[in-house]
Amino acid sequence: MTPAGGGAVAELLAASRDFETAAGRVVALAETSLAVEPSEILGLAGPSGSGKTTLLHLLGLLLRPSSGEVRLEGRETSRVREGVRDAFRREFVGFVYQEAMLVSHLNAVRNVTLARPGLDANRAQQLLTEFGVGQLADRSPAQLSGGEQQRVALARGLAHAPALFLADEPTSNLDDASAGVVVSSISGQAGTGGAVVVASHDPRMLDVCTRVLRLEHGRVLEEAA
Amino acid sequence: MIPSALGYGLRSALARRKRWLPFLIVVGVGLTVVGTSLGVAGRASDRARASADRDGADRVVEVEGTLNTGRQVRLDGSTLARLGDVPGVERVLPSSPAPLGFKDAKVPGALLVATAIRTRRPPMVDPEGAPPKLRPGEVLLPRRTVDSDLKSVLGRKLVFDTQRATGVGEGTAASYRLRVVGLYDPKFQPDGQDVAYTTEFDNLRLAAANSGLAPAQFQRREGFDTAEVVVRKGAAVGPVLARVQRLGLPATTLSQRLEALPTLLSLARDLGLFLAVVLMLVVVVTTAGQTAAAVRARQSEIGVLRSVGYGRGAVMAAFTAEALIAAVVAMVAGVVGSFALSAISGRLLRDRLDQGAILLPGLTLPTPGPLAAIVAAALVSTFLGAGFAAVRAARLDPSLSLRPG
Repeated sequence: MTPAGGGAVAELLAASRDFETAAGRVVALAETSLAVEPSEILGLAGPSGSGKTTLLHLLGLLLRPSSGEVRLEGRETSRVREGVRDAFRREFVGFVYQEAMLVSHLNAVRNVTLARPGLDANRAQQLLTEFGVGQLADRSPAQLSGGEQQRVALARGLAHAPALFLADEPTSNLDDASAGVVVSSISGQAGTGGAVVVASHDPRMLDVCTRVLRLEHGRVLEEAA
Repeated sequence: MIPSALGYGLRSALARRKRWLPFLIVVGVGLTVVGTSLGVAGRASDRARASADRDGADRVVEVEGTLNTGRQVRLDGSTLARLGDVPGVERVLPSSPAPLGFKDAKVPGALLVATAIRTRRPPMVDPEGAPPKLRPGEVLLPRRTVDSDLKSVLGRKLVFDTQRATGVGEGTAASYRLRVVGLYDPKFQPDGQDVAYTTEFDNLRLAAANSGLAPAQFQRREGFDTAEVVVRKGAAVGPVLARVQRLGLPATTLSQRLEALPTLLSLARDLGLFLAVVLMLVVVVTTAGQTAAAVRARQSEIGVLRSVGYGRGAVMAAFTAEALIAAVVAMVAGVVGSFALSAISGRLLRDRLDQGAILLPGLTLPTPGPLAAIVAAALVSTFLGAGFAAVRAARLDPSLSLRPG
């Protein structure tokens, strides 16, 4: 486990998260401290329910920690109001998920420019071309294959060159060709100075990680080489 | 982010237009019916008021000599004198109906009711305008009665028949010669369609004969059925009305009577108000239901929106905007529909209603005020209905929304 550092893009400082359920309190992530540095690709491995997604959502400001702090670009985000967290997320964070989760009534270009008023259609088209789906820019998600959808989702997540890119099982539903594009894109993002945290079981993905944390039952057990 | 959310709502509404179609139809048709009902009734009401004002009917108190508080109140000479003494009264014109009939080669038979001509809001004669000032021995007839066109009698001196009472349940025929000096449009007057207007002098003669009395006896013993009390100033109508009623006489203002809409229009107005309330409830329930269903079905989409930086307000705006856009389309359809239906129904009602030609002349269009109020209320209802469900969308935990399954 890497201690929190001053130049980190994102940090968890003794952050934990638990949930109230009908069966009682469930600890999704026990007290954890870590830092994600620029150009780092941090892998998260572990079985389902081990806390990988919870950790990603804490870093992405989709969840508030039950205790501890989450820092993004050096700023404490856990106790600020929701609107500030939304603005941080919009500016600094990009996501891609196991499923592409494209908005069904928007075409590929509009999915890329979603919530990015400063991003024009030409730049979105250029991004789609970089991901090999430039010719599909006007198509709706229903007209795209799973791999094509995931490439559009990647373009959406990386469109604003986020300081922190979070990927949750991004290759698990993809064929080799599409998975290769995703892996190389994530590597490329780190190459531009951005930090990446990726939860994955896929060896192709974990192989490009600079560091891999193994989680079980909400705890970080070890740091893989 | 809010402008972006509104654009998102617009695209979402376009993409889900089939789901909104039933709402568009129900609200569009509902607004068409409500707008038409209230519009036609409102137009008629406005016209009736304007007509009453124009003709000075707002300065007239109408008094009836009928049973009141269990006793017969007679509009005899002394009562008329007391009415004339009420402060603010300019003059009193009594009248009593008397049957009046005639027939000739061109008119197989016309049965009319003779009454004294009004000084305020008299009938309109052909071409439309004020009737000539009647002199004793002159009469104003309707242009047509139930079965007969009376154009042929204009300008002629006719022998009219009436009934002279000779005892209880007994009478003899009596004849009066009156010159027809004008024909009025039966649609343009408030006394019924078979009235023969005479001077006060001739009306007294006819009514007295009908009662088997000399005119002086009639005034003293029998009394008139109605009296038109003309007030000097409109502001004095209320006090005069109250004073007349304190004399034990049933009284109303003529403008009240003229402004009372025909039953059909009155029903249309009431139906319109009722449907307006129902429409608002439908809008609230439907938009709340549609938006709630959309929120349930699109949880992962909401999660994606939050993950790309949409705030709670922007998510709420996106879902509310979708419903508002559907509502605006429905409103536009309803407004256009109500214009078309108002024009059609106004045309149909004009020929079928008493005083239809006065109440609904020319092209009938909805009254802008009520229509704007309904549209505004429907938009507010949409905002409330959709907003209520959209709050749920905004409060969804994005972390849970994004989890597979």
